[in-house]
Amino acid sequence: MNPTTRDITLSALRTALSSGAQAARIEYLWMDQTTLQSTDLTLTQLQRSSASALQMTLWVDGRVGSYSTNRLDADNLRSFIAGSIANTRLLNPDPDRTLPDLSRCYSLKPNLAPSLGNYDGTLADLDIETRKRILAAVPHTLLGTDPRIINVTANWNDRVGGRYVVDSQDWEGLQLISSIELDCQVACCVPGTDRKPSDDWYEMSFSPTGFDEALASSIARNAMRLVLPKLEPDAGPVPAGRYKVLMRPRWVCRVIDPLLNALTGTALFMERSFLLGRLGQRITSPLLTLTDRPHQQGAMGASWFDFEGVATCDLDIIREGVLSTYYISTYNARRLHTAPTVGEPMVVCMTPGTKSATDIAASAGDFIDITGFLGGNHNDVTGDFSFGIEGMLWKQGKPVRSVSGINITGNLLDLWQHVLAISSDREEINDSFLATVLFDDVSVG
Amino acid sequence: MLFPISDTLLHKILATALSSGGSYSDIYFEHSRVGSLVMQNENVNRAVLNEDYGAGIRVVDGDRTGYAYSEVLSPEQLLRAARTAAAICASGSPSPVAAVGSSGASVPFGLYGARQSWLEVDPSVSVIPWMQSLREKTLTLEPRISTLQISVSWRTQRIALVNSLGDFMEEERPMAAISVNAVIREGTRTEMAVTSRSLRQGLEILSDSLQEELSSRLIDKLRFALTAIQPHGGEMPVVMAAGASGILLHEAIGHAFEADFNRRGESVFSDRLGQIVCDPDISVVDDGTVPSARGSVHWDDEGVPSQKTFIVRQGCLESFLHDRISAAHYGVEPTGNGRRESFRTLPLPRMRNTYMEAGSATESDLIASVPQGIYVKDFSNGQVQIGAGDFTFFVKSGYLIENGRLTQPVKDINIIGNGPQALADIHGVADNLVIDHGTWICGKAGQSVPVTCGMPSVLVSRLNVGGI
Repeated sequence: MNPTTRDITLSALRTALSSGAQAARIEYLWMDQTTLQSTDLTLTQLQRSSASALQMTLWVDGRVGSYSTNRLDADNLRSFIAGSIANTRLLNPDPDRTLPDLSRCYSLKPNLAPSLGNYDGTLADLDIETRKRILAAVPHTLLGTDPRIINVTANWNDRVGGRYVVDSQDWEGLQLISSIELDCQVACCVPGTDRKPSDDWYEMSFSPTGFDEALASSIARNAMRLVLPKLEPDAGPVPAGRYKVLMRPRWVCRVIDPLLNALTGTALFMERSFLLGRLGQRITSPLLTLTDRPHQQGAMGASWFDFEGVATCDLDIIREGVLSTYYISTYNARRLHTAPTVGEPMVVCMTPGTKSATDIAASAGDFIDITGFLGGNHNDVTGDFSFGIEGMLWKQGKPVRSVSGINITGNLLDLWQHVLAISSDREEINDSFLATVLFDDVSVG
Repeated sequence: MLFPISDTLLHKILATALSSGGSYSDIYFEHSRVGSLVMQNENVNRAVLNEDYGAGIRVVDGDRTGYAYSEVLSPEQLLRAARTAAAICASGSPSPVAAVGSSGASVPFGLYGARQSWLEVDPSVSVIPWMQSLREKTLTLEPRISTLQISVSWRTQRIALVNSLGDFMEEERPMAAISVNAVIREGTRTEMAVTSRSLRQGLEILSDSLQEELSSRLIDKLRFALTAIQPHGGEMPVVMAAGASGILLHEAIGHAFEADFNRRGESVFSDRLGQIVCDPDISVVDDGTVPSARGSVHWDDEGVPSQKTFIVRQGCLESFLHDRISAAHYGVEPTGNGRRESFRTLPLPRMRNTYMEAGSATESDLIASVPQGIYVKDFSNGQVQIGAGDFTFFVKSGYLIENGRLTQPVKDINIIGNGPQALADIHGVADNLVIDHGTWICGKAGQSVPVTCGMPSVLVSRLNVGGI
């Protein structure tokens, strides 16, 4: 963060408070981004950009509005803030919406907050030729290895930036953000047909350390590993019925995220949650324990505070199948007449089981090993879901053939009641540490 | 000009962008204001206003693209962005740049119905009372509603586009979207429903008749949900109701016709242009000129006039959907499908308003012809695998068809099919084309753009229906 960032943010706060706002939260967001894309050995896209914006939440005469602009020159900001304050006055009063109790906020100033080990500013120094070299390793790994390959597309995206927040209670917070993502999509043909199946694989990190040609090759091989079964002539649906279904960490998040969304205060207040009124009740198999570990070193989602500035802490989300917490912001706590917790999940960790994913698969008998989702959705209120899937059919502990063009359908709570096993090995996926889960008795068709 | 940049500077930026070679360059200026008001239960308690301002500079060299943007429209920053975009080219000799506006290109205007600009909105006078009235009407008609959320959002985009061909164009694009969702309780059962309307219109969209329509549709959906179940699944005939069923075309056919997938040889339709693929009664269009529709634009985001493009004409695959890059690749004229989310992003071939033209059957005939199947009419989302052709859409409401009659209400099921196969399996197109003006959003390569879809009722002889 440079001094200008702080100056602009504090100036906006002062302007808001001197122009009629009684309270305010101002956030300065900035991001430098580099994107590269190659198709086969040709670099097809190169994009570089720097972006910054101010986001403001203004409390005016008991009313609250949210505003943002990327026009940060002083004259425009003054005018924008004045207009925002006038706009806020037109709303209904909302006495429930306040800044959080300062005693609940993270107490250390940005320069004193210990590192969570999830930011690496050296990413900004990575030269463009290094990025190109690593990107090129993706197609180099695959091209020429299989005549059915139509093309190999690789994407590199890195971002370095941050979020600096101040509010009218003199609270101040800083989050620095760095991330790299490299993905590979490989498209193949099925000789004698029009079908051109493809699949992809990606890896993410907050640091360029370990992001090298070897990792790029591994990403490419994983993408190819997923697409190869789709090229077999017997790939297609399985007969409708009830099956065991295995979800690896990369895909189990598809049935974890709806649980987490249903725990938020807004979903509860608007009654759009199938977990409304279930606190303290057994909602899943006792094999499932989910915790939030927001201070886990090196986790990409780790943070000392949530979007309000409230200090984060370790939480049991689901303890051996029993729902243990909701995510309740200050605003929703007042609306729901309950105590606030924190406003959002940070680093969700699935407690590992005792057997590896490999051992679970080997001993599971007949099941479908999901290798991708295709569309589908769930109902927020009932938890009913229906997702398109593709994967491998296993029989007697061995993969038999690729399956596609099928759905799994049911209710999320029923699904989570039917957990047969959770693996001992976990992966970091989208700010979460998730294991492989074997579900029983899933409707497939 | 909507943006304070001289022709001299514009020319200098384009010349800088093409200073190392390249076949084409453009500058896309944008100043967007997005506002929204949300009423949760009785309070309008959330107001959002976002302002976004900047310019994106693109250099095209065959199939390769360099891109950079600046949020500050100073000469220094714009020229810096131009130099960054130019880096896609090997250091070649400079390419020519035509004088700004010298092409004389012009496009017809009049697609947008904005009589009252959103830039002059006073929500306390115009929007909040309308939301309150809608709430009162809805709750009076259905008192079992336990929570109700109404959101009204609007966007005004001021855009200017200048390119190395000498084109210069600018306009203001309006957009309005109203979404209403509610939860209803009856006994131990709780259900929810959503309905929406979105058009390129101004404040005049907030009419009494729209209140009546949204209220009525929401209540119908809520009552329907209280009786609907997840059915048994399997492969079966599917009658798709007129309107939102256009999601079938969007997912099953439309994406696979976006020419970037085809020029890379990845689409299941890549090698089938000019072939008969379905019943000759079927014509599918992507039309950027439907008045006030979300996907309509006077010119696309690289300055090409909008048009009505036949994807399938009388059963024959007629055209891909092109941006400038793919059009040059195929040696054809661009079709006005180069669209982008904002000045921060590259234009890509994207759909606009995609629909099937009406046929001659009746919906009741189609239903009557099905002994065992399903009738689907409301959807929330869909997805497609371009190369394999497999697509899905999620059904929010429909009915079982038993012996040619609609029987048990059903909901919350996913349907899977294969694009070319589904197209070939359409056996009956009704005469009741409806364009659905819901808040459809199409996502591709991390970018979202507004679209519209539509369809007459059709019978697809077999699709895979999810079920318990």
